[in-house]
Amino acid sequence: MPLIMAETGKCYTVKEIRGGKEAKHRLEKLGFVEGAAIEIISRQGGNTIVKVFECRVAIGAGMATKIIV
Amino acid sequence: MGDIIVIAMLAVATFFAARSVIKNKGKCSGCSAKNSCSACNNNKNSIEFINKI
Amino acid sequence: MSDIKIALAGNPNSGKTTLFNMLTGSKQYVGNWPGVTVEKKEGMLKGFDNVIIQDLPGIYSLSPYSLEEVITRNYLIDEQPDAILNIVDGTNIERNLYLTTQLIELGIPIVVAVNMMDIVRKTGDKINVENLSKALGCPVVETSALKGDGAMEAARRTVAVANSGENKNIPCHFEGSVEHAIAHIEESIQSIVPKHSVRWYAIKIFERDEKVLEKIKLSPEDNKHIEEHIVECEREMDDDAESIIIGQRYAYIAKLMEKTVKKSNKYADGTVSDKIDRVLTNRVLALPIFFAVMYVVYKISIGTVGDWSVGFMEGLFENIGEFVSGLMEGNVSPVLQGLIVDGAIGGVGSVLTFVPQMIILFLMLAFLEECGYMARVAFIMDRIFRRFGLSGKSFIPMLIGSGCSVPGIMASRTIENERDRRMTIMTTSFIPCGAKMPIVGLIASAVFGGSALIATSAYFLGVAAVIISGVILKKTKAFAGEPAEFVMELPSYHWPTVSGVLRSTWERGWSFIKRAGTIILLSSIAIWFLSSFGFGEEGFGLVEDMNESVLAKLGGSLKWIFTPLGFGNWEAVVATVMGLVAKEEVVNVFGVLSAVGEGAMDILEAGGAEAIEGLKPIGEQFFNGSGLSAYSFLIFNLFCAPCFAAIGAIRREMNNAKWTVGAIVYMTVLAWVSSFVFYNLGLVIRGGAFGINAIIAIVIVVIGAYLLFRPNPYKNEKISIKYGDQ
Repeated sequence: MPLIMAETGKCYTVKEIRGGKEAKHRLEKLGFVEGAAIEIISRQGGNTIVKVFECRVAIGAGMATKIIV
Repeated sequence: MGDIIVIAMLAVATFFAARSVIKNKGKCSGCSAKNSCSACNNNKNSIEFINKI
Repeated sequence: MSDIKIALAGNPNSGKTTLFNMLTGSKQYVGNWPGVTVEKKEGMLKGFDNVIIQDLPGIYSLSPYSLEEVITRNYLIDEQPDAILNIVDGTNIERNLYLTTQLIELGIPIVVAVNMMDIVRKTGDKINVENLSKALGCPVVETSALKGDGAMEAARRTVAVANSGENKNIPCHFEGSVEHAIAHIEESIQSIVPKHSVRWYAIKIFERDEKVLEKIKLSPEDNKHIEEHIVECEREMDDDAESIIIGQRYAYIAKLMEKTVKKSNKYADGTVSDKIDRVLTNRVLALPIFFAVMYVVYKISIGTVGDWSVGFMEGLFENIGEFVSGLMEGNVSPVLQGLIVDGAIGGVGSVLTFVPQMIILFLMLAFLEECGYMARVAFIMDRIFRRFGLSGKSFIPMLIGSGCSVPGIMASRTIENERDRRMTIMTTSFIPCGAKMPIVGLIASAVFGGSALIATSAYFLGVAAVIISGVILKKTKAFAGEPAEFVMELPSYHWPTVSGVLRSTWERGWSFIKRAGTIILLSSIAIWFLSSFGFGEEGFGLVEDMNESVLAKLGGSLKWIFTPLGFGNWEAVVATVMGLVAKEEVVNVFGVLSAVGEGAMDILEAGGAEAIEGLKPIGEQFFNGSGLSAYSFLIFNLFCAPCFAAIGAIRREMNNAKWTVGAIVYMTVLAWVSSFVFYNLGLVIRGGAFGINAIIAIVIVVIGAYLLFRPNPYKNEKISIKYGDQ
C-alpha cells in the first residue's frame, strides 16, 4: 500500500518507489530505497514525518503516495 | 567656546557614522553591525541552516 | 611550497562548521565571494602556514538537485582541492556514507572523520573504525566536534594524504552489468576528463547527468555507443539508470554497515524526539500549539515587556535630553542645542526606546529555532501554505525575515522550484522585520495605548499578505503550477545551548543598536536641518514654523499620494520615504519632528509619570489621534517597498532586473491598495459619508475577490523544476 495509508507509529519496509524520475530519485537519495526500514512518526493531512536510517524526514502528501510499503 | 566643542564632537560623530554607513552599504542588519552574522553565514549553507533550526 | 587546499565536505548538520571554526581557530576569517554562485568559507589551518581549509555547503549527494549541491560539486570538480576531509555524522552513518562513496569516486585524496562520536558512544552503538577504513580504502578518524576530540588529528591526516597524491581506491562496486557499462564509458572519456576522476565522470554519465554531459560534450558515436550500454542495463534491472546507481549504493552501504556498525537497541521504542514529535506535530494539536506559542512570544515581548520598557526608555532619554541641555544651557547657541537635543537625542532615542522589546522577542525566537521546533513548524505550515500556492519551505525565509529581511530573502535559495523561490522572495519582506518592530511599537503605544493586540496583528497582517499574494500570484502565468513537493530532513530536538541563543540574540540586538548610532544618527541630523531651515520671508534661514521648512516642502510635494490613505501630512510622507533607507527611520523621523515641532521641552514635560503618554503627542500630532489613519499608515509601511539593503538582496537573488522591479512595484501597489481599502471602508463603517473613495474601495475589494477566487486558468500546468542561473 502507499505510505500515505500506513499507520502512525508502525514500522514498514519500502517495497517500491513510484512516480516521475525526479521525485523518485529525490526520495531514493534520502534513503527510501527498496528494502529500507521506515517508521511513521506523525502525520498532518497527508504530510508525513518518516524515520528512515535514523533520520526524521518530513515529506509532502504527494511524495508519500509514491512510496509503496 | 561651547559652540566649537559641540560642533567638533558632532563632526567626529558624524564622520564615524558616515564612514560606517558607507562601508556597510547594502549589507543585512547583522552583517553591517558585526561583519558577519549567523543568519547570513548559515545561509551560505542554507540547507544546513534548515536542519539547524 | 605551494598552499595545500583542503575542502570540508559533508551532509548538512554534520558539524562541519563547528569543526571548521575549531581547525582554523583565531586565524579564521570569513571570506565572502560575491555573487549568487559561490558561497564558501575559507580559513587557514591552525599551526600550519600553508594549509587552506574551505568549508563547503552541506549536501546529501553530488547530484545537482539544489543550488548548494551545484556549488559544492563545481568547486570539487573545477577547483580541484588537494584533499577532502569528509565529515560523517556518526549517529546517522548510513545516510552520510552515501555522500562519502561519491566523494571517494572523485579520486581526490580523502579522509573520513566520523563525527559526534561522543553521542554514538552514549547510545551504546559501536563503530569499527578500522574495518570501515579498510573497506573504504581511506583513513577514518573519530572526532567529536563539540568536545574538540580528534579534530586536529583528522586535519593532520588530511594534510598527509594531500601530500601523498591521488586516491586510487574505489570501494563501491556495482553489479556486473553496471560495472561493465561504466568500464565502457570510462574508456570513451579517458582522454577528455582528469585522469583521477574518470570513474566519477563515468558514473555520472551513466546516470545521464545533464550538467556533466553538457560539460564534456561526447562525440555522437560515443554517445550512441554509451547509450546502448545504459539502456541494456536499464532493461536488465528494470529501472532507470540513476535509480540503479542509487539503489546499489545503498545496498553497498548496507553491507558495509554489517561489517562495521553494531547497533544497540537502547532506543527501540523510539527516541525522545520521536515522542515529542508525536505531540507537537499531532494532526489535531499542531496548529493550535503553534498559534499559542507565537501569541505568547508576541504577548510577552511587545505586551508585557513593552509595557514597562517603553516607559522606562522614554524616561531614560528624557533625562539624558534634560541633562545635556542643562550642560549646554548658556554656553551653546540655542540652534546647536536644538540640533543635539531635538535632532540627535530625540531621533536616536526614539529608535532605541524599542530595544528591550526587541531583545526579548529575539531571545524567544532564537530559543524556538535552536531547539528544533521551527523546522517542525515549516512542516506544519506546509499543509496550509500549499493551499495558497506556497510550500512549507517558504516559511523558513519568512522566519529568518522576522529578524532581518536580507538574510530572509537569501534563505529562499533553499527552495528548489524557481517559481516558488521568486514568490517567496517577493513575499518574505511582508513579515515585519526587526526594524519594522519599532513602527509597530510606536503606533501601538502612541495611538492605541500600548495594545498587544495591535502588535500581534502586525504579524498576522504579514502572514495574510503572504497568503493573499500566494493565491493571486499563483493564478498568473508567471507563477502557475503546483508548488514543489515538500521534503525536508528534521533535526532531533535538543536543548539550545545558552551561548547559542545569547549569541544570536546579541547579534540581532547589537545590529539594531549600532544602526541607531550610525545611519539613524546621520539622518536625525539631516532631518533636523531640513525641518528647521527653509526659505522664509528673509530668504534661506531658520524658520519659525516647521511647515515652512525645506522638508515640509519636499514631503508636501508627495502628499497627494498618501492623502487617500488618511495620512496625507508631510511628516508621515517624509517618514515613509525615509523608511527606504532603513525602516527604523520611520520612528526616527517622528521622533525628531515631534521634538522640533513642539519644542523638546514640551514633549519631555508632557512625558510625566506615564511615559506612554509621552508618545501620545506623536499620535495626536501626526494622525490627529485617529486610529484609522495610524493603522492605515502601519499597513502601508509594513507592506511597501523594503529598505535599500533588502531591495539589493531581492535584486541579487532574482538576478534579473525585470523581476526585481516587478517585486518592488507589486509590494508597493499592494501596500497602497490595502491601506486605501482599509482607511476608506473604515471611514464608512465609522459613519462617514459614502463618497467616491468608498466606491473605489469597494470596486478594489471586488477586483481583489475576483483575483482571489477566480478559477485558476493554469491549473493543469505541469510542475517543472528549474535551477537558478549559475
